[in-house]
Amino acid sequence: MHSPHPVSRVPSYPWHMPSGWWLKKRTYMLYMVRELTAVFAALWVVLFLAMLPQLKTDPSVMRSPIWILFSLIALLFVLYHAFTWFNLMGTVLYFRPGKAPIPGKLIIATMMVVWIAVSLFIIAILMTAPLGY
Amino acid sequence: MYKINTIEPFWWALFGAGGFIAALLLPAHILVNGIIWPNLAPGDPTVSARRLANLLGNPIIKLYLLALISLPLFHWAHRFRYFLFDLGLHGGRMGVAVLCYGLAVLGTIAAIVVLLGL
Repeated sequence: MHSPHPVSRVPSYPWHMPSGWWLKKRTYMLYMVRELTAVFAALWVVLFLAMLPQLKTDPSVMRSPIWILFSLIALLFVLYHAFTWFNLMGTVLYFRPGKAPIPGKLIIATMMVVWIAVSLFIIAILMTAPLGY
Repeated sequence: MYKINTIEPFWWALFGAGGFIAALLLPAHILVNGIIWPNLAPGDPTVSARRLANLLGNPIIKLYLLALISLPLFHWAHRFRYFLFDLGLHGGRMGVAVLCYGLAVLGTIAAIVVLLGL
């Protein structure tokens, strides 16, 4: 089914990375889970978009138990994305305003604080939004 | 003059922006729009829909929602493309790229159409 693509250039040693490489270690599996979080983020956002035109015609579309259950699962994955993303930023971002670069832990902590503040702000705006009619 | 051989950094930049949106803004929205609002006020099933419909009247909110929907799609596209490479995909890479980024572009266009029509 999956034809192995040899990485080795020596014809007598046609080695290729086994497809199940990520099953060998817990950290590899967590990496694959991290990459999969993007699927849940995209799916939730697409389903949310699909729901928007139906709000006027079928106002109870948001109360669908499948939507709530999917949102719960998506939230777990997206939270995992958020935390791994901020940790990545601490490693990847390099700013050197003075002599020493900004420590990664400071970047991560700052992003976490900003994330909490922004999230509370969004929640407050959404929960107190007027009804309109 | 050095010739840039690939458009890859363009997709990567969208991937980065989408990652920030998905990390910073999406959890709050999933919590409220996906879990809290659907369970609010059991006696009046339309209350959350009316709230959202009212918010949608504001063009700034429409622009915000466009970013909220479109950028995570590009984040998914770039990340999923490399996820497939991690799974061992070697052939048909151009097709995969067209599929992934194409879906993200289509989703963005759909978001523009839907949001403009609301």
